[in-house]
Amino acid sequence: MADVESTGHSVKLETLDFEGPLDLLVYLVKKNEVDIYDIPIALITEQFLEYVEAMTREKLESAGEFLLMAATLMRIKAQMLLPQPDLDDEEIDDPRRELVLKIIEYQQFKEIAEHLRDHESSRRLLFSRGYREWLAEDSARAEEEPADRATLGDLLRAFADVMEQAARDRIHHLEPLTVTIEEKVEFVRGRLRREGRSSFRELFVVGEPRSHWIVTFVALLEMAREGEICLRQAERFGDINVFVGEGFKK
Amino acid sequence: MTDASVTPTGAVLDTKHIVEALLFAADHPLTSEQLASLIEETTPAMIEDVVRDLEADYVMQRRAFGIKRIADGFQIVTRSDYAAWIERLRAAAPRPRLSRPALETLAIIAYKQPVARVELESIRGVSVDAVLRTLLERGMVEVSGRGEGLGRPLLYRTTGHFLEYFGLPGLDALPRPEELEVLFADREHQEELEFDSGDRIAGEDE
Repeated sequence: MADVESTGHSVKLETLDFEGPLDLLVYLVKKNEVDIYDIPIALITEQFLEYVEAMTREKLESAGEFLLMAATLMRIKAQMLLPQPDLDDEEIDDPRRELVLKIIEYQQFKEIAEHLRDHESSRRLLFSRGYREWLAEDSARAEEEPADRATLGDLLRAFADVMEQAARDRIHHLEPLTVTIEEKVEFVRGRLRREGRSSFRELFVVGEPRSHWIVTFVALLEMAREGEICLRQAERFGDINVFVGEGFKK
Repeated sequence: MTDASVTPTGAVLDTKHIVEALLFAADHPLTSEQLASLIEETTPAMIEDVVRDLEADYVMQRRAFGIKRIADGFQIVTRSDYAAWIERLRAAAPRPRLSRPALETLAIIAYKQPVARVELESIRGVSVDAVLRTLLERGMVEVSGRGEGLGRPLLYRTTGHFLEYFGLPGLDALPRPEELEVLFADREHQEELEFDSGDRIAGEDE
């Protein structure tokens, strides 16, 4: 085990980038060459806080998770300073236990991620028939601006637009509902099955009574909730597009 | 389809040559089941033998390509030594690699599937929202259903495309967690996490 005292001074961390608080902890444990099963919590906490302090000055937005971990570390540190009721009792729960298990688990997946990186690298050297198309497909997917998911507010705004248009050019007459949500769900599914996507507007059939449009809207909400469709908006207040979702029923 | 009949153009119509033709023409890996269903009077086991035979031929003849087992199937791919030239042919910019967060998240999904987002976030200690969306969009993972817990969360699993992308024959090609080197300490520690509660403060005072 390393001589902990000698590494107790400040560590240059500011230039390093970490994926999250666990990533930073893994780094600190390795860097100090300490025993993961007997982490010197005071030292690690101190270095962790140094990093968080440096980080919060630059990118505050991602600091929340680090601060939460800092609080956990300080709590553990405090618990460790409390006198133990009976040191011989083998059932004593080490306050570090939970954290240590998390660090180990995270470290394992980090390693597996490295394995995947290796596989990715060697796979890129192998070419098969259709690889151009395959690559194009994959890069298209990778580059496709991941349009933001439309929020409920966006949806209601879009629906209000549709209804407003209807209000302008129609005389209304009351009539009983002749369409069910299920029918509209099936209608939307049919459209998506054929085209893979649809604009939000297109789903409101021109000439249909307004009551039908409301049913269509409810059907869309229902399908979005079930994950059958995915509602996307390329820009704020832009048109909403409906895509096949993860739970789409063919 | 095992006795070789030769056509007037000189093609040999045995299973081996037919498998070769199919693998040559296919865009994606073909499984032995698929191949067996396409060729009369063959079984997946026979296909496996024939493929091994073909690959041996290619090695012996020093062909520039070979047969690789990817995503439970077989695919003819060029040998990695020729990558540099093929890259020139391709001209276009190489596709982006997956980011580190994406790889970490994928690793967890690969092992824990089907798995809910909360668990991914608990293991990584950070939000995985954006990463998960990227993985879904690149077809690396998909929703496999809903969990039992509160709010019936969506569960995620890896796809066939994931195996193809990494050139993995199957999920079992990844190392098992117990095979991973535990970097930090002795292995026996891991079995029973017993802490030395005696002098736990002693080693860490500055």
